[in-house]
This record gives sequence, structure tokens and C-alpha cells, in this order.
Amino acid sequence: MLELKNEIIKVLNLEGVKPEDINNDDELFGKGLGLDSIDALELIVMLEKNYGIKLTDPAQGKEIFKSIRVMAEYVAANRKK
Amino acid sequence: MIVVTGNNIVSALGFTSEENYLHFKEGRSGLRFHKNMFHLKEPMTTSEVNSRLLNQHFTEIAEAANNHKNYTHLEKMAIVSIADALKQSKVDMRGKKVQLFLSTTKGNIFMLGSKHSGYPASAATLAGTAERIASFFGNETEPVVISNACTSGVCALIAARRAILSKRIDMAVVIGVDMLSRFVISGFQSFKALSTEPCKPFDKERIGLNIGEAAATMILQNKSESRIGKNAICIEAGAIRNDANHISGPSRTGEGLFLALQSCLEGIAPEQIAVINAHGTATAYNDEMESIALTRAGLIEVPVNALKGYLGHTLGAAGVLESIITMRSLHEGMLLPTKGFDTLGVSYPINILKKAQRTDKSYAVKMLSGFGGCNAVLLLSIHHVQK
Amino acid sequence: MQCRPITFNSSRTEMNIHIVNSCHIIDRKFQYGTNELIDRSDKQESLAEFFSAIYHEMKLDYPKFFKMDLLCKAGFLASEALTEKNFDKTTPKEDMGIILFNSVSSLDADEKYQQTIKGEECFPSPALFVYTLPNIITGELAIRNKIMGESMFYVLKSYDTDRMMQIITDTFNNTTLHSALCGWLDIAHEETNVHLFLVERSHQ
Repeated sequence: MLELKNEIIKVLNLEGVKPEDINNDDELFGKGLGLDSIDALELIVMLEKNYGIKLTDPAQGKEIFKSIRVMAEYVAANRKK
Repeated sequence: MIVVTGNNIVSALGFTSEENYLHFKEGRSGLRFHKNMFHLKEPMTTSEVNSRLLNQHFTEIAEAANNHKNYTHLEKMAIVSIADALKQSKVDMRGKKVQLFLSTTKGNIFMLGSKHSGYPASAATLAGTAERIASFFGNETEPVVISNACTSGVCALIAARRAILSKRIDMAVVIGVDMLSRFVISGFQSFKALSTEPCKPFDKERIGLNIGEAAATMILQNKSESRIGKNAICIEAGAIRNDANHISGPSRTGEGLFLALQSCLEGIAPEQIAVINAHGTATAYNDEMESIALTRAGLIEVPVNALKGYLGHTLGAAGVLESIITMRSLHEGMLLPTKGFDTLGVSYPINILKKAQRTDKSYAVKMLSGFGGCNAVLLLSIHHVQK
Repeated sequence: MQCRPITFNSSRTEMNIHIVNSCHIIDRKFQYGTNELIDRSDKQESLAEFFSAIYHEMKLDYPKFFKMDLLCKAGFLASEALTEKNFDKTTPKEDMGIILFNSVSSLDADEKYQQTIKGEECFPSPALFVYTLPNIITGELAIRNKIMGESMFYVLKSYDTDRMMQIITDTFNNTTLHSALCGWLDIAHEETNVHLFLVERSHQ
């Protein structure tokens, strides 16, 4: 999950945010990190580029990006790289 | 009054406005399915200008002008379009008080990815492209480029109108043009904004837009009321407003579009409007936003159509192209249906045209919205000579 | 890239608008107000680092800044300098506009996005693509300052204050704008030539 946090911080240009600042169960979108729709799209690209996971329906992103923990579990279960 | 004295559309559906309009009337679409276009993995539906025919048209014009320079596909589209529009308006582009206004989102962006494209460096800049197009016709007034995302076409018409009203120029040649490219299509794909099928504006099943390439020209001149011909089309007003909400998504309350409609249509009653030609990109959010803005502006009963089901979203050309088709509808007194639309899929029951419909009203509205939170509205009128 | 001194002469305008405040970013010099200057010419830093340094020196708090491309960062910082004192960033302003110009369009973002689509196996970046339109800067400024009037982006051949003034004048003459952020922003290949102004309609 630390690896994932670092990746997200890098890919989304979250300046000044450290992995310690992100709680595993915090909402990524909305109140938590306050990510927006473009960030969601960028995370979809990250999933494919880094882990070989291709989302067939972008709406799946809503569920997968709920929190770091949910995301990490999804990546562990589905990664091809 | 600012009158449209010449117009042209170059697209997948033909090389004149007449040819295009005939296809639109007969319900034909220029959209085609492609696998592997620009070596992109995902298939797409786009509309494309026939290169062979374009080159034929262009060569004829270039030979007559004794011009043997190398022009890009985009520049040829623009030149062929302007040449045809000029024939109708009889404007001499070499005049000092004639100015070109270029509306484009990415111009010759294909040159970025090809080191030895064979074209001069000036063609890689938007201002350089505009100058190359203007100078083809012997025009030496420095052109203006409007690059305001998808609203560029309407914004260019508004800017041109103002320049004429300032008396700095007498005539404006407004050209909207964009071409298909790996750069643009891959970008829209990364936004998951595209539909691989022909788009369905305002429909329940809509899933995204199609990109098209086209060039569209409108020539504007200032004429006194007594000298305006019967059925001439005038650009009455225009307004541009920003949502101040998100750089790529539209405002959920249609704020900017509502304000633009309110400003542009001041003094016009809904009953006077023949049709509102919406942006209608067929994305979930855009069409929903437009239905909200129209309702807030008291326009829920006014006939609305969207034309992107015929040629897709032609980006920098869209505002000019769709205004020309709308103009022709006013001439014919016949409103075109929204191709791709079947069942209303937006929150407000706006009056989307599913079938062709007669009209005898004098005003038409063109709306556009785009990245950057921009919204632009144009009011056109047809000059019915009073008895 | 040529760096020109300011020659924006409002007294020459046939129109009744005047300049309230100005900000100039020429390479690694950030100048605004009557006398404020941040000069980092001696530091060996990239444009991105320079803009970050200005952001921190101005003590700004706007995390979205770090997602912006260089054109937007430049425009954002300049506009923050112009709206530093007594400016209401929360009330929607339909009578304020944004009228911007440059000669390179979104070249910097274009080049960066192009890198993500090179080669057969490509991963186009939506976060980079969104900035490949020059008018996105008008969107960023509108969002930050709740500016809802006319926003436009024009591309000209070169920095030409006469032509810019003609277009700005046309805009004020044909709208009910009371004020606008206007100016020139050329950002390319680590060089900057930015001149941003806050202008207001004068009432005779």
C-alpha cells in the first residue's frame, strides 16, 4: 500500500502530500484527498501502465478507487505485471 | 447590420454548403467506423474529408492562382472552403479592410509528431497557419486566431462581428477548421469521452461523442437595413460566459450557458425562436447540462436540435458549420431532426426535434460549450422583407 | 524568445479602460505592483521550480496549482499577484472577463502530451491532454476567482499591444464588462514572456 500511495502522489502531482498523510481507509474522492474526475481517469491509465489492468467500463473506477485499501486489494487480485 | 454574404462547408458530406445540406436533409451521415486509425488500439467512429477529392478541388484553385506551395490537409480544407464562400460574396480578399478570423483548436498539430513533415515551421503555429491561408488569397491583414476550445467557431463569429462594428474592417472571413489526428483522438479516448458507435445526442443510451474533421466559412459584412437582400441572414448578437466550475466538465447547474443565453437573447421572446441548435455532443454531462440551462432560461418549449449525429464534433469548425446548416434551415423554413436521438435521456423535457418540422419564425440560436468552462451563444435572424 | 518591455499605453486607447495593476514574468524575474520584484535569475532552476518558488514565496494555498501545466501556472501566479489586495474571490462576477493572448498556444503542454503517445504501446495522459488547449488557463483563472463573464483566448503572431488593445476595446465596447484580466502569456522551452493586467472600464 505504501508503493501505491507513492505512485498516486507522483502520478497525480499531489505536491506536499506524504504517504503518511494518506490513511488506508480514507475516501480518495470527495472529502478525503479531494481528487476529481481527471484524477480518476489518470488512475485508470496508471492501472494499465503499471499493473496491466485494463478497465472495460470506466464507471468501475468509482468502486475500485474508494480507498487505498480497496484499491490495493483490487490491484493485488488483478495485476498482470 | 452584420450580414452573412457567403458561406461554405467542406466535410465528409461534400465540398459545398448545398451538398452538405442536401445530405443532412436526407438523413445521411458522414460518420464511419474505423479500426486502427492512427495506429490507435481502440476502434472509433469519425467523419473524414475525402483526401483525393479535396486534392482535386484544391489543385484546381491553386493552379488558377498559380500557387505551387505545399499546403497541409487542414490548410487545403480551409482554402477550398474560403474560395467557394468568396465566390458567393464577391469579396476581394486583397482589400486592406478585409480580415481573416481562424477558429481552430489544434491546427496542424500532426506536425508535432513528425520531424520531417515537409512543411515549413510556420505551418506548425496557429498564427502561421492563419497567415498561410490568408496570403493564399493575397490578403495582407494580419489574421486573428481564436482558440477557445470547442466554442471557438461561435467566438470567432462574435469577434469578427465586433471588428466590423468598430469600423476597423469592412469584411470578415471567418474560417473554422480542424483535422483528425492521433494527438486529438488519443486525447479524447483517454478522457473516455468517445463512443465507438455513431453518437446519440440527448438520448437515454448516449455514451459519448464522435470526432469529425471539416472546414466551414462564413463571410460577414456590414450592410444598412435598406440594402439587405431578402432572406439575408444577420448575426444579431452573441454572448460568451464562463462556468467558473471545472476545466473540463460542464457546470452541473449550467451556470455559464444560462448566463450566455440570458444575455444573448435579451429582448427576444421564446416564441420568436424557430430553433435552438444545441452543442449536443452526446456525452452524459454535456447534454444534461444543456437541458438544465435551457430550462432555466425559459426555453423549454422552443424546438431544439443537435447536428453532431451527421458529422460528429468538428471542434474548431463546429460553431461555423452548425450555424450554416441552421441558417439554411431558416431559409427553407424547415428544421432538421436530431440524428441519433430516439428517447429523451436528460432531466428536463426540452423539445428535441425527432422529425423535420416546418417553421416561419425569424430567429435561430446556436449554442456551444467547451473545455475551459466556456459557453458561447449566437443569435441569427433571417431578414423577411416587410410588405 | 524576445522579451519586450511594457508598452501598454492606456492613455492612447480610444476606449475608456484603464490599467489597475500589472504583473510581468520575464524569464526568472517576477515583477508586480508598484515595486515588488522576485528575481531568481541567479538560481539554476527549471521553470517548474521557479514557479514553485514563487508560489511558496507568495504563501499561496491552492493545491490544484501543482496539477497545472506551465502556461496555467504562469497565468495563475500573475493573476494572484494582481488580485492580492481587496479582491473578492468567492462572489460570482458576471461583469468580469478574461481576455488572453499568446503566440505559441499550448506548445509546452502539447510537447509533454505528445511524449505520452509516442510509440505503438502508448498511454495517453488525460491530465496532460486537458492542458493542450490554450484557453484552459482562462478556465483556471475563472474557477479560482469566480469570474463568469466573457473568457477568450486569441493567438497572434507576436506580442503586439496595439492589436491586443483593439480586441480588448472591441470586447468592452460590445459587452457590459466592468473589468477583466488581460494580457500575454508565452511559455515555451523554459522561457517566459508574460504580461498580465487587471483593467477596468473608466467612467467619465
